[in-house]
Amino acid sequence: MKTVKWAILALILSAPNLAWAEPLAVVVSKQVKLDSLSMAQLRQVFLGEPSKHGGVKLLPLNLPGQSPERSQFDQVVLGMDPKQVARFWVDQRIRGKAKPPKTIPSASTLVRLVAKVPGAIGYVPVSEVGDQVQIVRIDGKAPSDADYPLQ
Amino acid sequence: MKASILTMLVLMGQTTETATGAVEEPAVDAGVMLEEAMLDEEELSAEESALLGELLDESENTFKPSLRFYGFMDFTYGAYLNGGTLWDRVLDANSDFYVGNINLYAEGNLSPQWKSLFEIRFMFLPHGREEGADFTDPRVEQRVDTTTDDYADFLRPLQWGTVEIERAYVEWAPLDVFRVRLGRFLTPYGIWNVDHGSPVVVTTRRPFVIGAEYFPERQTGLEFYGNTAAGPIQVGYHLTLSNGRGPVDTYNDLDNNKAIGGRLTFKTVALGPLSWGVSAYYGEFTDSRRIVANAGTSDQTIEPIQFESFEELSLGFDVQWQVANFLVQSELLMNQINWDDDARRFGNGAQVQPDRIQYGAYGLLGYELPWIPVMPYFLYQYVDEGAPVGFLGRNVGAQFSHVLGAGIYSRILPNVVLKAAYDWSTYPSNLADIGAQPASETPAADNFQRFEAQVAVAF
Repeated sequence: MKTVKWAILALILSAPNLAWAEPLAVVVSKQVKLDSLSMAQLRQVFLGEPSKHGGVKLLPLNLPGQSPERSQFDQVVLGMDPKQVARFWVDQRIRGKAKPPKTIPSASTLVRLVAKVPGAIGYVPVSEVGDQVQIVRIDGKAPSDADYPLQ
Repeated sequence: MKASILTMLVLMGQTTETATGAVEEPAVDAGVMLEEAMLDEEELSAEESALLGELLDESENTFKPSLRFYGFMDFTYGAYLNGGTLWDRVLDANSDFYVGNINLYAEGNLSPQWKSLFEIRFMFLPHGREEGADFTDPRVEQRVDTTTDDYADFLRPLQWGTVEIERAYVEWAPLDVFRVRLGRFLTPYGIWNVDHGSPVVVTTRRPFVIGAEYFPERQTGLEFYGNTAAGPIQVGYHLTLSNGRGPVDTYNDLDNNKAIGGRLTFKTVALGPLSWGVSAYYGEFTDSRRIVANAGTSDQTIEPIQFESFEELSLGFDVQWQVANFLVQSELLMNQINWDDDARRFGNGAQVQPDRIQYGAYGLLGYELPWIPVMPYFLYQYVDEGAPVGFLGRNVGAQFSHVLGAGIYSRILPNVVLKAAYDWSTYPSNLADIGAQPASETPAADNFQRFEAQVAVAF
């Protein structure tokens, strides 16, 4: 019985991490011909460096700072936690540089917006992708690949 | 949303420019795309519609001009800890509270390729500044008094302050590798000068070598810059052409000799964020004024004469590395000044200023604690002014200075920073030799220690 209790407790404590287990897909509108980005290019887009593809300015979209997907993305792609990212953007503003990506309240809203705005680019759990948007390969890897970097 | 639709209609069919500079039809027909977006709008909630409108306003093909205001300010408590030294005669030996910076930015996003930015600092100065001797007693410093009558409050006394234009420029950015700023800009050198905002910089005040302005803090003219990726390294450049330094360099080039400068930067994240750069500046400082020649005669003319003039060359190297929780940051700067013999400034003790090479550096090592947002740091600074500097109007030989500092930088919120700093500065000198220092005083009188605590916010 004691073992079962500990198992349940461990399951509860690990619940937030379970949400991270799903790979993140980087998505753009189906009408933008953007099939693949390198990790460095993705980082550049989400750190506000001017980025264009096929004549269209890329507009990065973030999920809320409290979401596990955002933490995962910030850590893997930007090498920072959300607080460090928030600091980074305050600092960039004072330097007179770029402004941060717009925060979208949920993955489903992000998908719907990306589908409608040329150049918008965001990330969502693979299960949220649907058929309105296309997935961008990262370093040539798709989310289903074993060595996909946004696992 | 109506504004977005209007913008969409106006900009529909507009061509865009690629990163390579070639103008081409957009890969996406923005007009059709947006019409579709609007037709589908009934699928969106009110919040989603609002977000869609904001995104369309930012999207290059449906851009809508915008104006943003933001800025920073700080409040400081500072005190010299070893009063009773000779420094009391030039430094305020009392402890003080003060509001240091109130900086406001206005950023105009005029088109996808054009923007404007100005940054102004609000100040209480010049009220209280001591300048020159009081006419009633030449031994007493005269204080600037900006007190006036407040007509909105029964003419009660009111002190006015001033505004400093930190920078003001228009920027054209056709390509990532080629952007131009026209106006007054912060000189692109090192780390501190461009970071400059109190919530961003680690210490409570800038290092001496930055404050000494071996490079001009700001210039008026043109700044070309850009960056590109070279494998895992982001390479950037800056080129400047400006009035250079002078007493009125914000709008006058008194020697008609433009200053040039440049900077190369390199960034990589392969080993943690690591950036380094080299900077250079070459220009001529000239203070020329007009005088009346042959006054009262038929040959009377008004001619410019050079009061002071020198050529200068500045070089710099900087590095910043964030690895694990450590921050390593350093800048090395030098400045060579060669005076024009006919326009050499008189210095301390009526000696003319010599040609000189001055140089300095600082090194900062910080470690952000893993469990709370506090970064203790150590700072070492060294400055060699290249020639003896003055003190109370005499040449005292204090040419070198060492500063040891320690402090904490705490980012309690992304936009709220608490800082505390202690500095121990020493200026080896010959004060006693020239009689400016009583023989009974120890050499320790040449140092001063200062404590500062600061809160800085970005808004």
